[in-house]
Amino acid sequence: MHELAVAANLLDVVLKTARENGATTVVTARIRIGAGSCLNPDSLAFGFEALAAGTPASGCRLEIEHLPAPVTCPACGWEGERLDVAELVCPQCEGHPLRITGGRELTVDTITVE
Amino acid sequence: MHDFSVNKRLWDQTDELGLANRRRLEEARIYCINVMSAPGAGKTTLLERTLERIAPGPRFGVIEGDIQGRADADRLERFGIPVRQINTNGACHLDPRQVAAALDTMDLGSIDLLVIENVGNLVCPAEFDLGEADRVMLLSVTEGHDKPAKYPLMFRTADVLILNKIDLLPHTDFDLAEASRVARVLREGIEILEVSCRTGEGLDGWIAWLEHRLAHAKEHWDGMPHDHAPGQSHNHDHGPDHSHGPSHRHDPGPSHDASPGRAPNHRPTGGPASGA
Repeated sequence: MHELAVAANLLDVVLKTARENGATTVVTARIRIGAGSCLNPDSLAFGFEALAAGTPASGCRLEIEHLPAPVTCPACGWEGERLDVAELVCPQCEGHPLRITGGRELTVDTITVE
Repeated sequence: MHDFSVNKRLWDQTDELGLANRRRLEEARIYCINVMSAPGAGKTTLLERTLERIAPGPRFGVIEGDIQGRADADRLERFGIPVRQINTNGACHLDPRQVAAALDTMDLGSIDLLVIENVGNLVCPAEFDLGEADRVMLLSVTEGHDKPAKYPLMFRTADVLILNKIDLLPHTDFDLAEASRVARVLREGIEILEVSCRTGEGLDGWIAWLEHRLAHAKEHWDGMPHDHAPGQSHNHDHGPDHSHGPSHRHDPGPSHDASPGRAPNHRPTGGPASGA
């Protein structure tokens, strides 16, 4: 549910960039989300759409690029990447839940404006 | 149609607010804990038992986070300590901006130990650095021993894990060893304390931990050489993009105006140990 707070920050950044560049309508915003960020993309897009209504970003499309999170096995040392961090069994030793060592990125890359 | 580059990391803003809170608390010499758990795990009860039992000395302050109402704040105000209620009106966590606003209304000069009781939730509160020195995580045995594996972020960022309601162990299938094992995998060296707030079992260990951490913070403020307890590492494992530092990781960042806002006296009327 904290996606709504994140969506509000996201909208702030998008609108500020648009304003600074004299744009009246934001068509697309491209963001990157790390798999370790614990953010639900659907909730984020829903919150963004709701908050953006009535602003220059009304109807703005959110393009989300998903970044894998680096994971490591504390038992056998196996290292890899996971796009889905719900499944965290070590493929090598199956002994321990994998540890997520990063993937908390949340970045606004570019916006397209009219 | 034009494309504009933004390249803005969205966590930065909230992280900076958390960092500002931490600096402000350190300058006011306040040791702060962020208490997190699912609803009903016993956060408020743990605080009540702590206030009843801890030796006189540290002056407490409490920030209560709830979606609605002030039932928990009322429970704690009977101890005669300053309590600020934050109602998130639907939001599932406290954020550093709300904590900063609560700090504005408190007499920071009359507090040694600030307890932030987060909104009951096993997911979102872990995402937000409020400026605390330590994160205290509660898991009650009635919730099941699979929770550390299912909600890893909360456990990854905790400094101490309190397994509460152990008096109910005979009535549950809770596997203490398994819960502890997974918690230690998620957070190496985490302190794990078995407690029953109902019978009082294990509370001495918790209070000793709290007093030790408070003393440690004081030594740090005074610049005295000190040992770090096992497991109390200097760095949290939050990943490179969203780190939060415990109190003793100073950031050499810009100086800032963090005057501890000395409001007219609302010093606690009773000692923190004056409860029932």
